Amino acid sequence: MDKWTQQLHDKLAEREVAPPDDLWADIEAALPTSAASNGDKPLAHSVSLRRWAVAASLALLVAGGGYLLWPSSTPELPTSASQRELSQAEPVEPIAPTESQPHREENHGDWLNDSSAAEIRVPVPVIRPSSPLMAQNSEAPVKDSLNEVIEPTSTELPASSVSELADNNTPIQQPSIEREINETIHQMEKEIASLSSTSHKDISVNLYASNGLSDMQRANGVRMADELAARYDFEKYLPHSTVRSRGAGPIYLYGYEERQKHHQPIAFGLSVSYPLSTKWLLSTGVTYTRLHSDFASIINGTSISQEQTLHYLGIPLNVQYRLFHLGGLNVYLSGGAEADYNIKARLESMGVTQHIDRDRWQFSIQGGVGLQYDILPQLGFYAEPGVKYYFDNGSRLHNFFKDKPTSFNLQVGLRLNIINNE
Amino acid sequence: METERELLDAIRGGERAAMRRLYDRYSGYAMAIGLRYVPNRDEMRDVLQDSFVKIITGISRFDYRGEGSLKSWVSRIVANRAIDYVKEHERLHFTEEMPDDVIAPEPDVGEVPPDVLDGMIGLLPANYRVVLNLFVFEQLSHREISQQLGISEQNSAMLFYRAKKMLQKMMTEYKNKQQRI
Repeated sequence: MDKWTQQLHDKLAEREVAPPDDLWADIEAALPTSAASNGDKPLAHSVSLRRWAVAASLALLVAGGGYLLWPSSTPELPTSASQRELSQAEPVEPIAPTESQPHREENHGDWLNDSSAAEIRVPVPVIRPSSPLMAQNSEAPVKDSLNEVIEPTSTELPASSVSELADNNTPIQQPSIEREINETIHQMEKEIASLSSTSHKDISVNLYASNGLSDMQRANGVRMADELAARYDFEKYLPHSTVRSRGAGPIYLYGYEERQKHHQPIAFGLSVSYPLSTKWLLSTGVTYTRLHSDFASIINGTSISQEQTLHYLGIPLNVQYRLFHLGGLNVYLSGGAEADYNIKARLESMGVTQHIDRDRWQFSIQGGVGLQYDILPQLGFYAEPGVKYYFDNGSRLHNFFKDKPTSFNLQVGLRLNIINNE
Repeated sequence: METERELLDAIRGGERAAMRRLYDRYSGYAMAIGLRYVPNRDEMRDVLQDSFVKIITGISRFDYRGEGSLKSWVSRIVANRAIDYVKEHERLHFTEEMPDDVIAPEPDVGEVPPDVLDGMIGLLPANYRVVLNLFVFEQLSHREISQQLGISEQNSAMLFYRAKKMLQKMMTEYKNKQQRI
């Protein structure tokens, strides 16, 4: 051992640093079980409650989302007063239960099977009580239903229908029925018009980039443990008063601080959207996210810097709800969750690159509003400002997700609508 | 002052208070050793807890060889546990690259406060840090280090050389800054 190394040894070998205050209590609590195992087995660490909370939240999210999105095979009929009365007054022959429900993926007319299509079909029995659509079981063949829906665009009503209603002492007056019918037809026309512009878009593919809206940085003073401070010979080691005391409180190492700056996450990805109905879409895909952080330990102005770069691949699962569209502009709400896996972690310190322990799975939930403008029927540009919340994954890596778990972000991209013209 | 022999006998006799005395006596020393391997205090807490549980539950197997041997045994257990922790949580890369031959004056160790020096060791890359600690403070030879870490002797020497140069560079920068103040 050379002289310099020996000096280093002599200076630090017998050094003592105060242990955490309450550590003995933890050791004592662990002793009976570990003593039984002869001390050869590592201590079992308790599973953090937070992990269970995250798992439970995700399970609830998936279950809740599934419940909301699951297409109902027997959509509930609107229960307006006139309808209830009509159904009581005029029992209608139900459709034979042997009729099979058309499969959702058969053709471009599938939208008729979903809940929003049911909203259109329901009022029809007011006009044609004998129609199969009046039945409690609304599992009518798709093509037939379409015909039935479109036919009554004429405002002329069969006189028999109205008189039948009157004969049965229905409390609804003829003018109100006509008004209701007109409104219904008007609503149907609107719905059909809106469906004609969207129902052919079976799948859309999105290429997007996303970015946070702010950096995160902070600086911390480094506190000296009280026990250590009590034993410390300041005059000997720090003749230039590099330690300052804040009254009788804790002593901070003067000129010694740690700074960290977390740059905005940069993300881009590819996603595929599948329409569940005219209003609802489900999207998933793959996302790449890069996190970059700068750390600096500053000892009396001398900065020792480290740069940390983390690369993640994520799988998002989102649902979108279309609010309205005007011309080529669509406005929708979006929400969902994402799981990110840290594929690479790197720390560069004083020009030396280290591969550090990778981060754990990172789960997040997100929500926002989306604006999409269709340049072409097949291609749209969209922007989604939103809020994202990152759950604490329990790892000890410092990064943007931990320092700013709730962040605003903006996702912009191109959406390619694959149109099925069959 | 209670000798290590007396303390050992009390613990082996089942005296609970003696375990606490062992902890009070060596926990500060053990903490300082561990922090040179695992600089994060929160992580070091786990290492120290595991180490002391291992020390107390395994003390029946300790072979007393005179005053000071208990302290050495404590330091070895803490160092080994800390090395295991570093292996589990930081990737140790042992390359066979030759060091850059930079000749620079060696800064005076005495001019840097011990806590600052400890902080600088904590900033070394994990592989440099482990080898420097084993060589300087555990006083193992490069042959022993190579056996413990599963690397070549030459590699151990090279890592120590680089660790030393990096540490000296930090110390020089610190010293220069101090002189400017």
